Amino acid sequence: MPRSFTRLFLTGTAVVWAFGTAQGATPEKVGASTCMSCHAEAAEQFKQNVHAKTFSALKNIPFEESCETCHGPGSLHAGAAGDKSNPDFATIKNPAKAGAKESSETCLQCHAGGQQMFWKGSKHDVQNVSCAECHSVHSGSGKKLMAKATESETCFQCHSAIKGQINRSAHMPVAEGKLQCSSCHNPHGSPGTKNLKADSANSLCYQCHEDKRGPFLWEHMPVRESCLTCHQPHGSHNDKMLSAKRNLLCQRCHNSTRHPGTLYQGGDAGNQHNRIFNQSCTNCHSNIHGSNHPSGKFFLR
Amino acid sequence: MKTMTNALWKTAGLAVAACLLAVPARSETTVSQEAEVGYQNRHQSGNEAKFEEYGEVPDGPVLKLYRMKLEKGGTEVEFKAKDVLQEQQSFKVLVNKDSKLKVKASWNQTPHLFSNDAHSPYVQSAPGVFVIPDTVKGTLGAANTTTFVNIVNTLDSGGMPLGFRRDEGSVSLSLAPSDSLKFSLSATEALKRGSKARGASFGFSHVVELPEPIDYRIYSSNVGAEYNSKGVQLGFGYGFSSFKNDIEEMVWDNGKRSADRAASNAGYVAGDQSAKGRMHLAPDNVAHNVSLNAGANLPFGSRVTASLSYGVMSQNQDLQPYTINSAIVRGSTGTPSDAPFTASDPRNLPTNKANAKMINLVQNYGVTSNPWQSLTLGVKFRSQMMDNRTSEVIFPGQVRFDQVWEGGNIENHAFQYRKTLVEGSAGYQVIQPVSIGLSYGVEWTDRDHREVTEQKEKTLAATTDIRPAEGFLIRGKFVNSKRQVDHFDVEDLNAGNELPGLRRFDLSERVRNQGGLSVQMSKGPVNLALSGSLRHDDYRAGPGDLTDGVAGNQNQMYGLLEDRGKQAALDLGLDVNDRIGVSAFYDYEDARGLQRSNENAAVLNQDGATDWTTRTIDRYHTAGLGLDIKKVKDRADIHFGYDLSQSKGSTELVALGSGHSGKPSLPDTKITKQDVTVKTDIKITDNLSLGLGYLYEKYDVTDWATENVPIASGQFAGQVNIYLADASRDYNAHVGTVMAKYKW
Repeated sequence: MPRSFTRLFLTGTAVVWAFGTAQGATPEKVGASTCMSCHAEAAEQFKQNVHAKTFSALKNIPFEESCETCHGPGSLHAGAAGDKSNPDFATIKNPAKAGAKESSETCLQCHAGGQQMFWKGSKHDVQNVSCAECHSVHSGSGKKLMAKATESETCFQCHSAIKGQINRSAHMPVAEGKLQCSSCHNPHGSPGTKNLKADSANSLCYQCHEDKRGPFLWEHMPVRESCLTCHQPHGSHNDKMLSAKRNLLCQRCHNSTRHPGTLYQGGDAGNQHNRIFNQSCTNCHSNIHGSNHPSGKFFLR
Repeated sequence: MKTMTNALWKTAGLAVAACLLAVPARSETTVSQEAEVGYQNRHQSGNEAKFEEYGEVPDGPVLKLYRMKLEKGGTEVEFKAKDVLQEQQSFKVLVNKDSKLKVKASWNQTPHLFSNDAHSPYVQSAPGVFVIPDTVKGTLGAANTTTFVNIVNTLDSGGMPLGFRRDEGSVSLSLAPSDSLKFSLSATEALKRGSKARGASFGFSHVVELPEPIDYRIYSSNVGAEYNSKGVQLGFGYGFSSFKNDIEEMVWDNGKRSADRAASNAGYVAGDQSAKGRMHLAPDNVAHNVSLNAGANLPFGSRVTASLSYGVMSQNQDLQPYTINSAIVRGSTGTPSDAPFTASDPRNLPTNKANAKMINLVQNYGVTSNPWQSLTLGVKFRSQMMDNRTSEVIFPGQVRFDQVWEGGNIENHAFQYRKTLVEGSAGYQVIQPVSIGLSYGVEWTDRDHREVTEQKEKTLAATTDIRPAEGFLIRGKFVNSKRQVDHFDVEDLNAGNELPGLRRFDLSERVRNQGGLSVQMSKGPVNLALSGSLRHDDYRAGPGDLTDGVAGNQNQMYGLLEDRGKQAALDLGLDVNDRIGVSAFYDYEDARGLQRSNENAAVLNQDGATDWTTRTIDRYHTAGLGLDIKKVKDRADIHFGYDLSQSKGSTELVALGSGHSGKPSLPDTKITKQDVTVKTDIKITDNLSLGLGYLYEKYDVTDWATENVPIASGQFAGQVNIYLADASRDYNAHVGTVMAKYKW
């Protein structure tokens, strides 16, 4: 074998071995004291954080181990001494910058049950929304450590259409602070549709609108099947958050003889025709969600 | 209620005391407090309730917030009070001991105000009983329209509020004896009291609207347990809810009649037969729910989840008789429309209780897997069964509007349904910044007692995410779903006396196409989000003969034919520098439906001459502008804001049969709300800051149906109607506030 080739081969092997040794170096835990030498402010703030308190109380994780519980062992990162060009610098895990799955796995170490039980495979998980997009462990606001000042602002980052809807004239008291997105939805996933915090839309609505729960002697069947047949829960231009103005909403399903099929027109509005004026159809059919009266088949009583 | 509330507070107090006593005596206690107190001055034109729909805006001293936090060892106690002494006030006590024991007690008031100035000629002589003076009742029946309206106007009892408030007291306890076990228990009592507008009519031409009294008591409690360890989670829950309506019925005078009378079939049109009306209000009901949840991590990044929920709702309140009209008896009219018995006697009912019961069984099962980092697979199964166990009863007839007996057997059908969904999904990261997702699902629905008994909907959804750079996301989504109907029962429609061509939109065949695109960018001082979406629902006739085999009937579909939506939004946040920030938001939405109907007199007629087709259009503009300036003279933060919410509803008659030629569309409706806010926060000392605020709100409404609602209306020929006159009105409001915020 020619000498030049041998030298080349040995040199290359040495280089590969050196590189491989460096890459294969395993980081080890160094403790929060080491982290604080560079991240003093963050560490001090973290002492007041619910995580810091819960780690020790519930998980028997002392403060010294708390940083590396989420960020991973930091010996190589600390060894880089702030030199970002050093590949060891990037070995520390930053959930805020990591991929969604990796970031979420960090949080799921502890937050796998309860509200997060159905996270995996949920809409947000599938759409690669990471925990860090809504929560900020170090600088979050409120008890839930939201990334934005309020829960609504956090959700509206992506759901801007809903931001417009909750401000419509017929609305639930979300803007007034009495309800939040999480009053109805579990952003961490739920078994039901639309991440609702109940088996179905109706089950959720009945939690506040118990008077509509019934069951009734006479059921209004599309109502029993879904409240969303007629209502827009995020807000509407139409009274009672209806998806279209009464009488026309009702006339989408009722064409029968006499008045349901009547064409009510401009003149009728000006003359306060009682089928379209004020509460329109529900001037008479007021038990529209169901009736328990023997003469209530048409929801008149 | 007072006893319950006292018990709740005592329980919370005992829990707090127990936690504090359990703490080692030498632990240092830190107490932090915060208060916002000040003075508010408001001026509002008119007395429109909309300004305070969900919360009082007082004129005078206000205590906006008080918060106290006490920490001793591993125990935290927090007390928070908001909007004290206002309709929407709330209080909360939270005790957290070592994150293992959490006790929470809260009191929350949520008002909903509809009107400050409703009017009625009726006087509520007892809860749910509305009377008109006897001297007047007989005269209204004989009065012509003008006289009727004048008499009713003189009976006006003066302006009254219309609205209710839900007061909820709640105590909850959460105990985590170990890292893997957690128990929870909560109890809530809610009271809902007030009034709301309720139609209580006597006939086609005699609408009456009353302030229905609301006096509800709701008790609910929940118990839960959870086990969480080594990738396995198990959860159990039981919930109970009881609804009680302390005012079971509403009885009200008929101004047109002082003594009951029965009339023949058409007698209910004028609504002048019965001396009174009676209606059953929301019946008491009870609900139970048991749930089991489970999740387990499996190899290859997989996870399986399951949930099972069994719920029962029941109601068994005594039924009222067919009518309060004592004159509807056998032989009262000598016509075929005679009642077979005394309709006001409850003993003539085939049953004295509804015996209503529904069981809701819901099951969800799912498996997701990340066999390797770039691939996610999922399978989901969902089943919901609404089983209606309510007794099916045949009534020999009914009394319409308390006016006249209508014979002929009618039966309450126990409507029930079952929905089953199977869905598979896959997500793949093609290259680092690009991922795609695909899902396909089929949902089957089976129903009893509706014209569509079997239905299937197939949905295909595709998404793509592109992250070309850090903080930059482009997301696209497309959904196509096809709903198919296996069988359509025209006879069911006929039983309801509907056109054979009618296809109800929640049952009919439908093709939905929906697409959306969003762009989110967060880079340095700029946060930008753009989104847009389109939706088109095309409703189709499906199986079933649209003509029902009747010669002369057009082969035409009726009902909702099409539903479209489009939406676009822009949300911008810009930090001009470290002191100045600007925000802007705009959202536009357009929702429109196309529906066809047919105006029939006494006989169903699908010949097209009296067809009419209308398009409903709701358009929305929502916008906001904000400017934040921080550290002005190193002391003050200032915020300027403008918010606009405008909506417009239109109807356009787009196709009219020959019988409707030249008829005009209904007028548009329009609502505009604008807010201008200025807030400044001035730091006086490290603990004290002074807040100055100004709000100007302008509300303009144009709605022919709810503006200018009179107490009595005889404007439409042949009708005399009594309303609550709770009209929607424009208003301007100015609110100035001076607040002191102190933290110590």
